[in-house]
Amino acid sequence: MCNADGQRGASTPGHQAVAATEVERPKVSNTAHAGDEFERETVPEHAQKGPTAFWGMYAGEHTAGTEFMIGPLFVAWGVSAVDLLGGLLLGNLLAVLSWRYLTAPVATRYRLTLYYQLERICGRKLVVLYNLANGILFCFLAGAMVTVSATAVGVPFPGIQMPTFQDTLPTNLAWCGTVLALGAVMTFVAIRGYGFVARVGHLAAPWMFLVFVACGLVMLGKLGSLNLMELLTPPEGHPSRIGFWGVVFFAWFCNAAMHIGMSDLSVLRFARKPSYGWASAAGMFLGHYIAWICAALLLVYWVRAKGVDPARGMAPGPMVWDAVGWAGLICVIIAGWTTANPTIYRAGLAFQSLYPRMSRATATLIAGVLCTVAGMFPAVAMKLLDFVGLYGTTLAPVGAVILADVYLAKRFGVIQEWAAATGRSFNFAVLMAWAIPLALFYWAYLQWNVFPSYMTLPVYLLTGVLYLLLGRWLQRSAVSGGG
Amino acid sequence: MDPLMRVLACSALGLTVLPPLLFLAQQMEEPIMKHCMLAGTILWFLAAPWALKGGAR
Repeated sequence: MCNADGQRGASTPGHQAVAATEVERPKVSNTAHAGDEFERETVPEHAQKGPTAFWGMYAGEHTAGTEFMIGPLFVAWGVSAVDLLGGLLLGNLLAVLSWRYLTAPVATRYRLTLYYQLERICGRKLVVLYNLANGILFCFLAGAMVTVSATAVGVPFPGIQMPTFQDTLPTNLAWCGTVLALGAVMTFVAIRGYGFVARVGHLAAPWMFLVFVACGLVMLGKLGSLNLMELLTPPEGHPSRIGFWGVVFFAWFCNAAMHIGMSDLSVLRFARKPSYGWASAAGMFLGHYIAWICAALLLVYWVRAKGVDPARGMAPGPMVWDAVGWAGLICVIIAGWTTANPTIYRAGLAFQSLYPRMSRATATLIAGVLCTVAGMFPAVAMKLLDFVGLYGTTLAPVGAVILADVYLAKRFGVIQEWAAATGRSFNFAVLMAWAIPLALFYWAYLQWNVFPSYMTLPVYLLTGVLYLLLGRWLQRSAVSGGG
Repeated sequence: MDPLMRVLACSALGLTVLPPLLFLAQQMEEPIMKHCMLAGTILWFLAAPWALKGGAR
């Protein structure tokens, strides 16, 4: 999958600021800042980067610990070979096109972070609410990564009972102890700042990808066949939960918060040209295609050769250990660690934005504790296909508000960058446009157990339409009411 | 030093992916493959900090 801004370090969600009161575009800085973050101004020309930085970043960022879960989960869900290979191809292509034609043009036009762009539309107080949702979801995501890493740490210790895909509660005390120890180390490092981990993640990226490839090659060797179509065909009688379109929508929207949700404005604002959005192809087709298929082959082997029930599955640690030994275990731990750590760090920053007087260390500690507790419960990691859909569907709709504001607001008579133009700190139209479709989505999910990735696009489109309608109506009433 | 480190880093990546290829082609035993991959891993983390210096961002 994605990590939540793994090695980016481009901007922070927790920056504290007063509401913008000017209608003009933000200033362009000509001087370098401490850290060169440009959080509340457009990125100047001298700070913009060439294409190589983006190709490398996307390739590394989308080869994370959670990829070891997603591939096998497709097998557990009984996805057929054609649906998997074809669905991933189309879904990843749509994701790349979303980055290229939705995110990158806005990012290079305004060159602002998502948080500042959003603040100018919906006001500082509503951004805080977005940060809270972001922070909580980050904690669960990081928790899933800790779970994945713990399955590798537990391999040499037979007392640790590994969770299966059907486990939702902690398996035993030793498992809790392993997660607690890992979570404590990750939180400590996150409190110290994640520069070192980001560096390790950057260095490990090419090697990690090759370990995924190695797992796939070894499994092909052990299965004695190169026929992927035959190998990925589910066993007779194994029910399929999603088909071709389920795979397409999952691959397209597993990073919905980043592309259509505009979170990657914070990264692509440093791009010289919108065409750099094509760089996301490196992440999608290496991490979300090759790595997922290689990881899927791990479970295929365990099902065929060792008689594991595909619905119960197998934890990634033992499968990778069996395939490639110590190199694989190190890969699972590093992949989980380097992606969980920045996620904890960013969740801490998001919490800090709620209580500006709280120190970053305290906020990161809270995020780390939440993440560690979440990691003890395998529910998130083992239901990752659902969780990633919930994550994207919850956060992506703010991107529809940004797109509506950038391209359609004038045509529909909505005030562009309403909060910046009026000096208000809470845009009720945005809140309603975000909350109504989301409430409908969660109701449908809880009522009918709809696969969340199917709902991302309808929720997104409805949010955009509602914002234009409500924005026109509420903003006009506010102006005529003298507000 | 950097060119040497680059050669070592490339060798490390080779040690990570070539043994599984040889295993697939039934030209290498599984335990030897796993040892080669571990050696490749160690070599990569020793050489990569120098080989990739300056390319971090």
